[in-house]
Amino acid sequence: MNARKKLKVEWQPITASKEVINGFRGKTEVIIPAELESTTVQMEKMAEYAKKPAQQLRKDGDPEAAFAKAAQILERTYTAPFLAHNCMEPMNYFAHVTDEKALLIGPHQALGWIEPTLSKILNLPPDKIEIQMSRMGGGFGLRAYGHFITEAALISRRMKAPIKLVYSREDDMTYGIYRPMYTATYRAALDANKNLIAFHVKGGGIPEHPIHANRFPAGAVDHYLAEGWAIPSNITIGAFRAPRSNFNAAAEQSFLDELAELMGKDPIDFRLELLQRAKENPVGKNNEYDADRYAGVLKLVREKSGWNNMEHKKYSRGVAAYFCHNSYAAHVVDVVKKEGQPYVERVFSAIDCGVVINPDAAANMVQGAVVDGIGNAFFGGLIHKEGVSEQNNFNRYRMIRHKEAPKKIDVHFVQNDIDPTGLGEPPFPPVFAAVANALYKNTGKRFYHQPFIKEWNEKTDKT
Amino acid sequence: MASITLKLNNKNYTIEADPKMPLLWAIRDLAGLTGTKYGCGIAQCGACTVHLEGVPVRSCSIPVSSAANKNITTIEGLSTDNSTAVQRAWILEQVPQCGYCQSGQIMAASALLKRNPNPTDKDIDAAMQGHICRCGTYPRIRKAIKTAAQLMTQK
Repeated sequence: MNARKKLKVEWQPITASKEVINGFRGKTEVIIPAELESTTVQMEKMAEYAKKPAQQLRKDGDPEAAFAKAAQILERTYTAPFLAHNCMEPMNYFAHVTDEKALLIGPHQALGWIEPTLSKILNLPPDKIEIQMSRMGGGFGLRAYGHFITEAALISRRMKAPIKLVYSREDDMTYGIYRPMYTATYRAALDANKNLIAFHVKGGGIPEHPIHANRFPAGAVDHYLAEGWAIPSNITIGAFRAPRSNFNAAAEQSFLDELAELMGKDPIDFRLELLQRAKENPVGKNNEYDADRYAGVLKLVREKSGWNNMEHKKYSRGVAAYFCHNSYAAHVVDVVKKEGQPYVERVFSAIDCGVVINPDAAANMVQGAVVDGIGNAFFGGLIHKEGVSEQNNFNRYRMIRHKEAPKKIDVHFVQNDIDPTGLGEPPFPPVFAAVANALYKNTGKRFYHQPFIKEWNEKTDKT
Repeated sequence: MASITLKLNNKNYTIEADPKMPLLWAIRDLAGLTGTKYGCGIAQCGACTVHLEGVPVRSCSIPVSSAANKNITTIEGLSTDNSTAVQRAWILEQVPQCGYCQSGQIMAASALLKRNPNPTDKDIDAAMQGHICRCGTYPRIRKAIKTAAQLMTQK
């Protein structure tokens, strides 16, 4: 750490450029603007872009006509900030690079992805680069990237010595690859009998949109439109536990809750009706989810939580479900008010991830995802000012702490013989919406903008 | 630089260090005990917790000179065979995920149970609030502390 403290770094603004990035969605050209970005300006820009025409991602039926003849339209907008991963173990790597070969040792999620980059920057063939993996003090997506490995390798080559690079917490948090900033506006059209006739989602973000156009409720509504837009940015972004899904679920599952209420339906019954429709008479062809398995986790969580049981009425209950990474997750969260603040005291989770190999470790993973979801929903958010993040350590970046975690998280797995699918990601996204829906039950006010504790403090009477 | 004697886990280590060096780095880099972890450097996360004369402290924020000749216990010093009640409880409840914060969590829990063998939920909250677990194992930590309290009565 002393070597790092002795470095006097002089930063200069970048110039605008275009780069071809080979990522999850193949090769894409990315515009990198020069501007020093600030969160307040980014929020204004998002509101402005949301009104512009966007890229059509999926269209079923004639949504424009259906909205034009609707008896009632519900429209709501949701936002979420950049998030820092904040793995407990800051990014670090050992490197010993010589003219002939390289030895690299450290924690990383996907070494196969980083090898070609190392080969290129070190000008060494892959068979002269040995990479050893060590245990990871958390990954959450950030350790899929290799900035700290290439940095360690280049320092070792320059110093002509074996070195270990350890990011300070400040470097880890401010030199991150963040979860993008997102927004989405959902619209639903009802006919005079309060039947859902059309559904529209238009999502955007900095620097990518969050929309998965072929997921529920696509396939369950006759007239459906999904659109996306993006604002270029020079803030580095990347995978964060259930990329994009972690925002989509938060927004969509809150919207469905509010829509169910408007339609006079129980939120679980409403979702099950939509899923029944998607199963019996699906709209469109590319629906990604299995309606039966999706309904399965909702029914299981309804049963295990005693959803309609009056004995739970001391709690404000919220429900949400989601499908991503080939698995299905549903949560019921029970909120109480504790010392003027919302507290999720209990959670019931139902998961369908196929065959569960190690039930206790699997339950631990789900419980962790629930705590992570509550933490990020309430507290998460990285604020930028003139190109610099305002938070650089845990005194300013609020993480969920011990007494804010639920006392009890009951995890139930659907028993079946389907090949195992994802579990690290799927339980995480629906937590945000289950929390928002429970906060509504507690306060009578809907929560649209993460982090919710900020919205809570604005919306609740603190006297 | 100064010659400093650290009494780590009942063993004396004589090290050459800048007296202002944080105890954490003396323990990790000079004494070679790497079970104690760096998380934030400003006493906000608890990953670096060790016992100084039996009291849990943040080793990242204590100069090595002020720990000289005092009894320090690190995670390696709890037992040689994971046999303390807290360690057994941690295994029974399968607490860790990534594990990085767990040395600090275990050191805090051990100190709590030493001064309060039967802690309430509120006692646990107060003792553990300074320890961040990014994986979210807090409910299992709470359960393991209660299990450890029970194991302690069975001796």
